[in-house]
Amino acid sequence: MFKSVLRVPVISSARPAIQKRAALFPTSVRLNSNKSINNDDEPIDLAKEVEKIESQQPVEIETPKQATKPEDPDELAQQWLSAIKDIRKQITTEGVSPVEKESKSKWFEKFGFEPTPEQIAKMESLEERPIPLKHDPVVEHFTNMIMKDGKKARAQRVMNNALYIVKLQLRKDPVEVLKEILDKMSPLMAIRTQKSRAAKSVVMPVPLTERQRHRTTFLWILEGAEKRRSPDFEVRLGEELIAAYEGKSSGYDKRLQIHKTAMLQRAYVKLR
Amino acid sequence: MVTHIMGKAFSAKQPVHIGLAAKFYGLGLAGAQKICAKLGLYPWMRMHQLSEQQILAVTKELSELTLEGNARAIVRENIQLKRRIGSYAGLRHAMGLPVRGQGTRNNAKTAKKLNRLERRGYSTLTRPEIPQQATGMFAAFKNLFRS
Amino acid sequence: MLRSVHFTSVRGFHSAAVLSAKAAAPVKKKAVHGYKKVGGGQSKKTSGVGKFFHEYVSEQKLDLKADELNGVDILKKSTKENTVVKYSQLHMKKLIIAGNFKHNQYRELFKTPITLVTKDTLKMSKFVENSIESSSKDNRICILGENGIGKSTLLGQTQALISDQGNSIILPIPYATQLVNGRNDYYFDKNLNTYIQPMYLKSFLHKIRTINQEILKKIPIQSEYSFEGNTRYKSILKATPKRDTLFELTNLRVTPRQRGKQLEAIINELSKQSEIPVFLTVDNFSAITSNPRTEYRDVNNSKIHVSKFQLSSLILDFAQGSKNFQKGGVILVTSTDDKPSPTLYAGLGLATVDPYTKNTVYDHEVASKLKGVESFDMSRFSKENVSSIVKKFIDAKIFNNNELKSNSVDSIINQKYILSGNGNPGELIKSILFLH
Repeated sequence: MFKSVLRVPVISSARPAIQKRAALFPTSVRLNSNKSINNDDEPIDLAKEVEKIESQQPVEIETPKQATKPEDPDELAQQWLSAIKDIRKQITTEGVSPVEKESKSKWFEKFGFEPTPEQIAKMESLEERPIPLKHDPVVEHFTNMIMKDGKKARAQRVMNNALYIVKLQLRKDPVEVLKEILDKMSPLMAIRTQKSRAAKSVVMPVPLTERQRHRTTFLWILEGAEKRRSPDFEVRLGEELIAAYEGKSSGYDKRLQIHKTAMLQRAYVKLR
Repeated sequence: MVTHIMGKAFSAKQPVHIGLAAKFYGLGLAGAQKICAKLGLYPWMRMHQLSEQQILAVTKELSELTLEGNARAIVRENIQLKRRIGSYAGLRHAMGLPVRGQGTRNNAKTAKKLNRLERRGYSTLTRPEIPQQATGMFAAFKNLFRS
Repeated sequence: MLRSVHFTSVRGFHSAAVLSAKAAAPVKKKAVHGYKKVGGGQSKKTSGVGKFFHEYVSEQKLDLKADELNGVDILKKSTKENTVVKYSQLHMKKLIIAGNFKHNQYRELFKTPITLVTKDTLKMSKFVENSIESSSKDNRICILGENGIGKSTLLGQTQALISDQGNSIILPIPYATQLVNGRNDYYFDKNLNTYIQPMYLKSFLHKIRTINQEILKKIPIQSEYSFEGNTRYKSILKATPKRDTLFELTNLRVTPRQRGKQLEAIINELSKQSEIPVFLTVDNFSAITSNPRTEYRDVNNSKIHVSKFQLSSLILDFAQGSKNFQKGGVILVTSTDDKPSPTLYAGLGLATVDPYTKNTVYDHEVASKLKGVESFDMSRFSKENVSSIVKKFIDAKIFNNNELKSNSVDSIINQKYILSGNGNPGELIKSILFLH
């Protein structure tokens, strides 16, 4: 609290110093530039120039009283504390009178007009509802994984067309289908190998977050899609999604394999 | 499914003008288009649609052009001429180095690959075997005496 | 290796069955038919349909997987504005042959495709009504509009309305780009003094024959025609008055080079008769106005002008009114696929052209032929139209469940109206399908 209070007068005292300096050298730009001050090409007498500048009166700047910076920091603090005391006294005796704020309501400040009570009620009812997301986060995640070279529009087209194929074949909401696949196919664990001290690697299962689980599943789906015949990626992906929904994807084997090894190596799970 | 024209095999579904331009040294896309226009083959006609007579007509048209060996010979003659008159370009050809003032500090790889007195022509399957020609200063002197 | 060869002929020390066994017969390679693959190597890809996206969507019979929508009536002349309708089976048959359905129209979402009757449909209905009574010279129309606004769909509705008349003939050209882009063969017919396109004419004649089969049988021909026949059948084919009808004339299997003459005869007969209205419909007509100098080249390797082609010049003549059917109309539909050209707009009288415009940009010959063609600017969907389409899509369970849960129907309608660019139908469907 005190620190932030302290900073204010320091800055305000610095400002006039800068302004003073600017006033001292009104022609500093000219001196630096290549252009001669005189129109004819006479060599400039530098000493004359300096004399001219010194003769000019610096512009008078009104400096506030606060800005006189006391040398001693303790003194400064005292100055501030007394100022705060004064304000507090003023508030307790006279009370706060926000006359200016009263004249404009908060609605007018916010919108520039006075809304009707119905409008206010509608706004308050909507305040609790979250702003809807533009894209489903799961679909967005998958789209970003499809994306190559930052070409998002292309990735979105592929994703949309693949989900369109899913919709046409299964006649179900494709986003829900995708989420169901993730529920069924995502592995709970990943297998990591770690070198122990005795020059022996230890295979240990590691739990995954939801996003990590989704990512592994998406990688498996993309792997399966690459093995399909169609020249268009969207068709390959759509077909693989349908196969995954029907439980035919090779991802399920991989999931089972990981879970098996995780069970075997469960002694190495770190519980911390 | 292959169509043969002047001893060269073409994929059946390849458009005629593209196929001709790709397989014959000395014939580009515009030239191939010109042949098609002259014979009344429609612009995107495929190789398998050509009748026997049309193939013969195409062969006749091709035989009137300077293609393949003859076209390559022209390039070689030009290089040999430069060599004979003792021009700098000829020297650079003999040395296997860039001809038009490019640097040789780095790279110059295409020039080292291609620039020689017996320049070989690309773009066809039946290209004559050309013995490897050495590059560099010493080789240049050797080549100088050879021609 | 050498040892084993040696010992198989002579009896070995140990008599293993392996040694006395016969060598396996060499596996014969199967003879490969058809085109060889370019890569040559065996592909690892095993499962799945090897089709491109638009092929997959349109050719896999995915529309059969949809449920039948209840409460959708068949398109009729008396249908009121802002009702969602479907085509009858007869409509569908004719429209498919006419080539009206294209692969990017999301037809596969429904068992039978649905369309909305808008005020534009009613205008076209009126147009059809007028043209049944009057000469095709008075009924020439060119449908304009932005991408996705439903120009081809409106043409489909019009064709369905025409076929409902029961007594009128449709001459459909579904994709005029094919007349210009050099993908069909061409041949200069000295008798007709034009270039003809035999391969295209084959499919065109087939379309005329199959769509208008019943009506063509009612029209007797008035003069005699003879053609060189396809050598497989007959040397000379004849169509004689009194004995043959127009159907027989269209059904003659003439040699490819005589198809131009056959078309000439058919058009001649159609314009002579005064009983039955004839409609010439051309989709993607703007291909002709955008590329008057076609991809085809003459003997001197210069590009041939559209007006030298039989079918293209026929279209332009009917557009001009220099040729006409005694009853009927000409319906031209533009496309945004073609690059915009001043030829079309100047021809329709919607723009004026700077006199110094280059020949390659503005083709005066084509533009002058479009004089007098009425231009028909399509309008976007109103909010009511959007609401009725959205409600049908909700019935058909095409919306995502999440969207339906989090919004009321009214708010969805409002959203979609804005997302579709204030009622562009193509954008409307995209906003429904592709905003996951």
